[in-house]
Amino acid sequence: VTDKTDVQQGTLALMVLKTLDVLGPLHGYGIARRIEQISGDLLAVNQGTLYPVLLKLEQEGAVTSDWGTSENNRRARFYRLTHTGRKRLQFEAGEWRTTTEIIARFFAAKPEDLK
Amino acid sequence: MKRIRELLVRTATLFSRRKHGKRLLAEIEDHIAFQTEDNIRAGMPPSEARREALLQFGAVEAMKEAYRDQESILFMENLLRDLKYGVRQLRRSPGFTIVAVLTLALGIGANTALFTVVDAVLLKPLPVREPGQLLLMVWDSANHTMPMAGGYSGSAGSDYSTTGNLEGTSFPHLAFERMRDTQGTFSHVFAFAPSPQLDVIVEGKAHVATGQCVTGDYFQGLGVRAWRGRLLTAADEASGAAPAAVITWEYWQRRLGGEASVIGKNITINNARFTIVGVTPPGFAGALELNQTADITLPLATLPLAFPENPVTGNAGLWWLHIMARLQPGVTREQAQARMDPIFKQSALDAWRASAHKEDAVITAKDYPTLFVNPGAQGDEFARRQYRRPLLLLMGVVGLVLLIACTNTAGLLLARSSARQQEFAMRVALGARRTRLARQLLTECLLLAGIAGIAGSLLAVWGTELLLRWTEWIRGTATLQTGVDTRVLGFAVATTMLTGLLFGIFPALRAARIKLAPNMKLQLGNTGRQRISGGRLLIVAQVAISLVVLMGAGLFLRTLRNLYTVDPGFDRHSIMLFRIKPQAAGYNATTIGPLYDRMLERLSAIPGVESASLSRQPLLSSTHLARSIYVTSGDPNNGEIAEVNIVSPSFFGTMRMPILLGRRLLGSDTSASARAVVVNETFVRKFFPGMNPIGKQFWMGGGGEGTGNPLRKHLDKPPVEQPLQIVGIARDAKYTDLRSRIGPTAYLPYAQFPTLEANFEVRYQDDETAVATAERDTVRQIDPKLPLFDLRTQMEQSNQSMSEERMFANLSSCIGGLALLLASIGLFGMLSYTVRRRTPEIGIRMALGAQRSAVLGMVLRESFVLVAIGVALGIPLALASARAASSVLVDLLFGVQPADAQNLGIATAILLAIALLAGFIPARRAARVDPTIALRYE
Repeated sequence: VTDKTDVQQGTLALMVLKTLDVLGPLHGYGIARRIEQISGDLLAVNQGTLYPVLLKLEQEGAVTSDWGTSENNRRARFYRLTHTGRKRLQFEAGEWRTTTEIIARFFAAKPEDLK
Repeated sequence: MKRIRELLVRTATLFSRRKHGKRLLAEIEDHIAFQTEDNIRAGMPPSEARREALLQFGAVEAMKEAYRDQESILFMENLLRDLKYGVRQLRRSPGFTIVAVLTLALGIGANTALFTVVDAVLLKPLPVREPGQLLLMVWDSANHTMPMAGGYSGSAGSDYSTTGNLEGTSFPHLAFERMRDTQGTFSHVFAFAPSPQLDVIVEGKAHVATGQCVTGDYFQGLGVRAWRGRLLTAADEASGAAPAAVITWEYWQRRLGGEASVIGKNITINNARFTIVGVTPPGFAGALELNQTADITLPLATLPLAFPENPVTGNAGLWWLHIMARLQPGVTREQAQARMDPIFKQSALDAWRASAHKEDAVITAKDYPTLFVNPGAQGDEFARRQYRRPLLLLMGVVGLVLLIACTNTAGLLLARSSARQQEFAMRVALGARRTRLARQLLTECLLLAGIAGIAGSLLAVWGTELLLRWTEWIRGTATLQTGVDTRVLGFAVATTMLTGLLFGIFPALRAARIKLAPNMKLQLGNTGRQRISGGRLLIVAQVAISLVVLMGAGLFLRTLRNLYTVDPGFDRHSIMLFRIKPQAAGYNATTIGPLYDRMLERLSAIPGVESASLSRQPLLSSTHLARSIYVTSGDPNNGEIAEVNIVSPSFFGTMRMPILLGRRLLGSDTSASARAVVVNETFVRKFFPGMNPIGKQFWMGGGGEGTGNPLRKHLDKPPVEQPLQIVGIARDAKYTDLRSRIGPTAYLPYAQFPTLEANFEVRYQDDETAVATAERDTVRQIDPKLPLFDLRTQMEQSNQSMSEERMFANLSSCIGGLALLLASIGLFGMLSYTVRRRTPEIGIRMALGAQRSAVLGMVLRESFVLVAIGVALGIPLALASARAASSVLVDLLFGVQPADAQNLGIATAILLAIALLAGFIPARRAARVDPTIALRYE
C-alpha cells in the first residue's frame, strides 16, 4: 500500500464528482472503491479523508446526500451529483485538461524546441 | 456566492453539531462494514477482515478533526472555546475575578451614574417636538443700566467669558411684543415667567403649588400636545375669556389623584377662580430653569387676577419675561439674530423710557444691551450653566478613578499572565499559535469587562439615585428625567469595552512575545523582577492619581468642616421654623400686625417653648431683603446697599443674638412712634465709622428681594420718607448663608414696617415633635384658613444651605475612598504576587540565615519605595491640577486654598499609611515562609 501515490484534496474532489457523474448515486465506500479501481489501484485514497471532502462538496452545493439502501440491503448514505456539481465538473475538467496539456507539452519538449 | 452559501450552511451546522457527529459516525460504521464484507469476500477470516478494514480506513480521530473543521466556522468555534476556557480560568481564581470585577464595576458604575446626572442636567433636551429648532433669547450688556433700571426678575450674571459682561434671559414685555409682531423670521414667538408660589384651594382643601404664566403661543410654539383636555391658546389671552389653567401630569397625579374628572374643575388660585382645562404630558415640566417647576400654568392675561398686588404687566420698565422662539424654515439663527437685535435695542430703550427712574441717568451707546439668539433645546438653561463646570470637574475626577480602576486591573492581569507564562509556553509548545494565545487573553479580558459592565450598570442605577438625592441643590423641587436611556447605556458599554481593550492589550502583547525555552524550565525567581516592571509602573501611576483625588476630597471635606464650624452669630439649636402667608387668608397691612401679636403671644405660651419671634426672612435660607441706605437725605450718590430684615422685638432673644450697645426693639416701637432700627456691627463700621451710632439717623431707598447677591447700586432716587433712628447694635450674624461675608444689616420692627409674609422662630426646650404639633394646633385655633408650611428646625435650614458643599464633600470623599481602596488593592495584589514568585528565593535567603524581620523589611521597603515614587510624582500633579481647576474650585471651596499644604500633607500621610497596611499582609506572609517548604515549592 505504501508506494501508492497520495492524492491531493482538490484532485480528490474532482475524482469524486467524476465518479458520481459516471456511476450515478453512490455511498461513500462505493466512491472510495471506484476511485481506487479507476485509478488502477495506483492510488490509495486515504479513505478517511473522503468524508470531509464529501461534506465540503455538499456544503458547496455540488452534491446532495440522503440515507438509502445499498445493493446488499445495507443502510448507507448516498451521494448524488447536482446540477451545480455537474457544471462544476465540466469546468474543472476543462481546466484540468488544459493544465495537463501544458505540462505534457513541457515534458515533451526537446532541447531544439526551446532554442 | 459559493462562499456565502458555504458560510450559511456552516453557520447552520454550528448549531446542529451533535446530529452531524452522529451522521459521521454512522457513515464510518457503514464504511467499515462494507470494507469488512469485501475483505471476507476476498477470503479473509472475519476477525482479520474487520481489523484490516479499520487499518484501511486510516486514523479515525484525525478524520473527525478534519470533518469538524470543515463542518464549522473556525473563528466562531474558537471564540466559543475561548469563552468557555475564559470562564473556567476566571472561576479557577475567584479572588482575582472578584477583585478585578469589583474594581472595574466601581469605576464604570461611578462614571455611568455621574454621566446620567450630567446628561439630565446639561445635555437632555426638552420633551417637545423638534427641540433642536427652539431658540432662547439672551441679552448681553456691558453694564446693568438698562436691564435693571425698571426692575429685574430672573437670572442674570456674568457671562463667564473674557468680556465680563452681564447676561440674562429676562426681557421687558415690550421686547416680546416687538419680536412677536415682526414677520418673516420666527414661526412662533412665546414668552413665560415663573410666578410666586400659588395658594390653591381644591374642593375646600388648601395647598401651595408652583406656577408660571405664559403667552398664548407657548404650547403651540413648544409643540406640546395635551395629555387630557386642551392646552392654553391665544384665545385664553383675550379679554373676557374665562380664566383657564393647565396643570402638569405630575401635579395632577400628586395632588388631584389623577382623576379624569379634573378637566373642567373649578379651583381657587390666590382667591381667584380658575378652571382646569388640560393636563400636559408626563415628563413635561415647562421650559423654566431646572430648579423651577410650574405645577400650574396660567395665561399671562390672568396675572392681575392671581396677583392683584403685584401688577408686573403694568410695569413697562420691568424685565421679567423669558422669550423663546422657533425659526421659520429657511432662516438661520445668525440671520434671526441680525434681524432681531435692532428691534430688541429699540424696545429696550422704549422700556427704559417708560421706567420710573429714567431721569437719573443718561443712556449712551455702551448701555445698550445686545441680543443673542441662542439654541433653546433645553429651555431656559441660563442659571444651569453655573453647574456645568462643577459637574465637569466631578466628571474629570470620576474619570481619574476609572483610570485607576483600569491600571489596577491591568496590573492584576499582568501579574496573572506572568504567573501563567508556563501555561502559555506549554500551549505554544503544543502548537498553539501566538495570535491564538493573544486572542484567548483578549477574550478573557473582554469577558471580565463584560461582567464588570453589567455589575457596573447595576451600581450605576443605585449611584444615580444617590447622586440625585445629593444634587437637590441643582434641581430644587424639579423631577429630573433620568431613566437609563440609550445614550447612557451606550456610554457605559463604550467605557466597558474601552476598559477591556485597554487592560487586555498589555498582557496580550506580552503573551505573543513568549520565548519558549526559558519558560519551559522551572526557574528560581530570577525573572520576577524584570517581568513585572510594567506592573510597578502602574502602581506608581495609581498612587500618583490617588493622591490627586484624595487631595480633592480633602479640599471639599475641609470646606464642609469649615462651614460647620463657622460661627453664625446666633444659636441655631432648638429652634423650630415655619412660614405662613396671611395675605392668602385675606389679611392686609392694617390687620396683619394684630394677627402677628396674637400669634407670638400664643406661641410663646405653649408649654416647652422658651420664646417665639418672627422675621420677614428666615436666616440661612439664601433669601434676603436689600435696600439702599442714605446717611444724609437728598444725596443721590451715597445709596449703598444694606441687608434688611423685618423682625419682632423678641427676635434677638429667641435667636440669642446679643445686643452689644443700646437696646433691642420694643413693643413700644409702634407705627405711632419714631422709626426705630437695630443694626449690626458691620453696618456701623460701614456707615458710621468711629462714631457712637446710637441715636444716629439714616434713610432707606428702594431695593429688592430674592436670592443671590444684591443687585449692585440701584438707580434709586433718595427717599423722602421719614428717617430711621438707630436704637441698638446687634452682634454680627450670618443672614443669607454661612458662606457669604456678613454684610451691613438693619433689623426693622414689623409694627412699623408691615410685612405680609412672615417666618416664625420658636425656641423650644426639649421635645421637638410635641412643639411642632402644638404649633399647628395653635395656628389653627387662631385662624383655620392659615396654612402652615416649611416647618423645619433652624439646624435643618442651616444644613440645607450647605447642600451643595455637602454634596461635593460626600461625592469627593466617596471617590477618594474608592481611589484609595483601588490603589491599595492594586498594591496588595502586586506585592502578594511578587512574594509568591519570590518564595523560593526567600526560602534560600532564610536557609542562609536571613532573619524574619529582614524579610519583612525587604517586602515593606519595596512597597514603600513604590508609594514614595508615586507620591513624589503625585504632589506636583496634584498642585498642577489644583492650579488648572482653581477658577472652579474658588467658587466651591470655603476657608481653604486649592493648593493647601496641610491638606496635601494629610492626603500623603493617608496614602502612605494605607500603602504600608496593604504591604503588610504580603510582607508577613513572606516572613512566614518555611525554607524547607519553599525550596521544594517548584
